[in-house]
Amino acid sequence: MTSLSAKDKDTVKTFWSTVSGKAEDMGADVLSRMLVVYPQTKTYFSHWKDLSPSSAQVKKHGKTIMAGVGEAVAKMDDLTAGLLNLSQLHAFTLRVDPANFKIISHNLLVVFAITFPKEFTAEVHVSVDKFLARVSYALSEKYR
Amino acid sequence: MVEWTDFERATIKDIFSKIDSGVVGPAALSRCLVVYPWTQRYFGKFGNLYNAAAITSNPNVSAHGKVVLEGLTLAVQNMDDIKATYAELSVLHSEKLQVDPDNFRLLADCLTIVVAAQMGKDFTPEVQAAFQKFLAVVVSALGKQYH
Repeated sequence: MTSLSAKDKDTVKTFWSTVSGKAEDMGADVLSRMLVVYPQTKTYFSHWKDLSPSSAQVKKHGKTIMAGVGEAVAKMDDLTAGLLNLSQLHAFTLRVDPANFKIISHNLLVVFAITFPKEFTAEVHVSVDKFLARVSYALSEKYR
Repeated sequence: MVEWTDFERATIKDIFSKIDSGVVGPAALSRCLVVYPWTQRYFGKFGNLYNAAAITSNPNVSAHGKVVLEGLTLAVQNMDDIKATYAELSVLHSEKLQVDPDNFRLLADCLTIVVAAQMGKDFTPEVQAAFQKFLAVVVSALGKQYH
């Protein structure tokens, strides 16, 4: 399920090149959606004063997350090696329960659909979904 | 019993008053069949599901998508007792159709994406939360009669 075909990789790269211009705005939207729709995720941000969509911290962190997605797109051919540092960060420092990767992936898909309804066809959706599953897997590699 | 806030009730009724079941239903079902191809197992009699284009243009898929969405409006009209409202549908899906209830969640996710695409910026985080809560209740009710 999580092995990407050549077509998947192509589809994701093309879609990303279309959407990456709006990455920053989308990142903030993804994060604030996650905090509202899945309130349990707020437990990872108890050190933030303001969890609203307009908060500077939310915007900044949304940008960081999208940069991570962009990095994954660039390193698509070997995600395990390419995302090694990020996996270590999530496993040992952040200790985010990997169940949350599915949650953020879902919100990425929702934001893609909202921001690029025409481009986010069913075929793009399946390739992006597979890609995000593969990214989540790579991020979980160092956990245990 | 599920507790709904005024905002959640209003939001659900608003969404379903705005969406066209003839458009959203088929879009959600065909997206589900493309994104989660194993769900095609239930539609062997539907004809050509060979690729995304075939699925999207398949008239059986469209017709059934509309049926599914119309089934959802039943829940919208009976938000205070979705479990009882869906008892018969749950029996149908478990005993006759033999659908793995995990698939309801997959279809619900696709419906969320389709409605999000349609509503754009109006699909705010709060609206998304209400919509997903509603779908979660529906999914749970549909799975209740499985044994």
